[in-house]
Amino acid sequence: MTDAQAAPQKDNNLQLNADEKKLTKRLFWRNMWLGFNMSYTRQQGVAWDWIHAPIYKKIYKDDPDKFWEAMKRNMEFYNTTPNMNGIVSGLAVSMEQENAKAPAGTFDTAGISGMKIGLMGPMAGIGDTFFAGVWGLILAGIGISFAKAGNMAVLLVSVIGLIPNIAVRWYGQKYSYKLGSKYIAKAVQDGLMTMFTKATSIVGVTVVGGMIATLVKFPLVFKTKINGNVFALQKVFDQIMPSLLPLALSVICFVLLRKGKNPVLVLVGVVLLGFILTFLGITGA
Amino acid sequence: MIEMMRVDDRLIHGQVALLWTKQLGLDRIIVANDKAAASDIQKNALLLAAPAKVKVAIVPVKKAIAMANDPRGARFKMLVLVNNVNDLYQIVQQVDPGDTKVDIANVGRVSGDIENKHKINETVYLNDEELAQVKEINTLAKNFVYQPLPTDSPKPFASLLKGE
Amino acid sequence: MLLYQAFIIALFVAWGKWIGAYGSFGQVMPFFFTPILALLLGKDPVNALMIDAAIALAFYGVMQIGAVLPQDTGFGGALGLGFALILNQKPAIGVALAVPISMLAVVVWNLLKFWFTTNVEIFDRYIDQRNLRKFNRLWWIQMGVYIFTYFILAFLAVLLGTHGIKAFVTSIPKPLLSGLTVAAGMLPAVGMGMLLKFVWNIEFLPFFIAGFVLAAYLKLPIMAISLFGVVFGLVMFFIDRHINEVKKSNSLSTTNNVNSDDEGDFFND
Repeated sequence: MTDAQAAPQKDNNLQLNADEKKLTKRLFWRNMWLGFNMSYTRQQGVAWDWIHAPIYKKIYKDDPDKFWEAMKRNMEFYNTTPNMNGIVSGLAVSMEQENAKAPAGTFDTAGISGMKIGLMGPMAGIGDTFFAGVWGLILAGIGISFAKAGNMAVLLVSVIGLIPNIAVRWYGQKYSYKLGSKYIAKAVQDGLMTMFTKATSIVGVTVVGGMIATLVKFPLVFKTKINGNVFALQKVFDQIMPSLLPLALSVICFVLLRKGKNPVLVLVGVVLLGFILTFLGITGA
Repeated sequence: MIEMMRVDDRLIHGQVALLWTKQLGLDRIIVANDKAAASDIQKNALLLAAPAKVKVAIVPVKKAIAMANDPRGARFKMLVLVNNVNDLYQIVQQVDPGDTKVDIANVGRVSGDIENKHKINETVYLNDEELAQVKEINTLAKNFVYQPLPTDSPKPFASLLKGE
Repeated sequence: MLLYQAFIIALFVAWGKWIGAYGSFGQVMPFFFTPILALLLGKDPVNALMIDAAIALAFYGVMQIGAVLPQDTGFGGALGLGFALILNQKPAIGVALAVPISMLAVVVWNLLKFWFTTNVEIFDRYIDQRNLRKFNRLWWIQMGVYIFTYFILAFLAVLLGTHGIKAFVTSIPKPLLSGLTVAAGMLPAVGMGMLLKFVWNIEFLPFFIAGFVLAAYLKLPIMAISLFGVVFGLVMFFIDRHINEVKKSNSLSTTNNVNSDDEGDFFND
């Protein structure tokens, strides 16, 4: 099918025409910049505007009033996981196009703000859990196990790591741009988003449980002789349960953080613990 | 019953959705707006912004008035939301506000020519026609206030109109 | 020589800041640029990976909680790695430098973000003035200052700090060094605590125990445990979906009223 044939029927058709292709490609690359120039008051608001300025310019090419109105409108507070922004961005751009096509006064632009504000929360919920939490965690974990052994296969980890990042950015943007808000609204309302976040969290919690046993080190070196028998502290703990102390230490950190203790203090506390126990001859390198 | 009638440029957005729902214990929101009711895109967007357990109806103003007067609404805590003074004026005329809080929070900055509007305060700008309507609303509603957020103390709207 | 090393490490730091935010690529590309840094410095890339692995472990799981970014792991990690490489030191030294530097560097980000915040007003003004050129210019000035700040800080740190740090690390007594190694091994516990805090829900306890047991008793590698995690996640997803469908068919429709012509189930429970 050629682009010309695909062009007239926009709905329920995922084929992009030539103009749309150009626009979505541009948007895809511009969206890479969402993580820069954050501010306390608007978070990614300024970045959103900078990213979309050339897109809005194209959409409102005959109407500078509408272009600047869109720029002003979109400078509002915005904050989501950058990887997930393609979904919101694609939708927002398709809505701006509706606005440009609609006769004056028939399209209420409040809907665009409403959509952005409504979506940024759920998107950040999934995005932070998946990308920052689980995916980044697994990649770093596998990467560390390769790198510790000096294995250059670690370079492959990045290649695999990039796949979901790029895929979510590109397909998220494309589908939301073409299919519109209906499907995403339905997914949010049906609780599909919450279910997915929960499933992702479960992967994360499982991996963290495993990581504690493999990556947290609590090496006991204390040994003494009792009635001629060697008494090694590490052995005693291992008999109770392997990796018991790494588990205890991690859970204590978790409880302290959950109680709202400053993470920096917890970190300093752990470092001091390591030093003191080593000086006492209980732990050692 | 209706807990509040509110004018807000952006209809449902972060503030309304979360803070007011908590504050008023809302379980229903009626968005009265002819344009939004006619557009699927806007309807979906507004639904996205709505809190999870609140049912939302996005309907034309006429329908909203009928729903607000529906006796079945008595057992719910409802918010009626509009984005301009004219819609509020129509509603207040046909739905007796009684002691219900009528709140103008944000209006006039998003669309229209702001130069020709009266600045009531930082978030409220009204043109001549709207100003006249607001004065009428003031005679109809006993509890007519300016209160953008639940944490702001409500100011009688009449006190903002002095000098206009 | 030091000038060259300082330049390369500063470049590496600036690149890290760039790729960390651009497309969030840094997040999914662990260790990718480490061997390149080693080669540019004329050091062994395999050794560099081992040092970086120790540093990554100390930072493992560190993420922003609420408004507090506890450590700038990118800046601290890059400098710790750089110093350990040019001074030919052990991984533990890299960690010992990376952790305090990462904690200090947070101040820089807070200052930058504060400046960006004061600029928001100017961005607003440019939009009111309809001046896209000035809007873009301020954007690029901020970008430049952001990247250059970290470049120059890293450059000066290596150029001016290397001698002092060399004297410091060679004078570290042996017991202190083993204390350092132990502390570095314990540090991932903090990151684990942060991650748990982020996703925790008491319903997840069984999966946490399962993950721990798979590693502690069955000695499975991380990859296998991740796959088990996916299995658990999928099972729960399908159970939730099923529950959701049952709920829906019981009450016919629990979704919001989308119909504009009548009130639908607006007045139903």
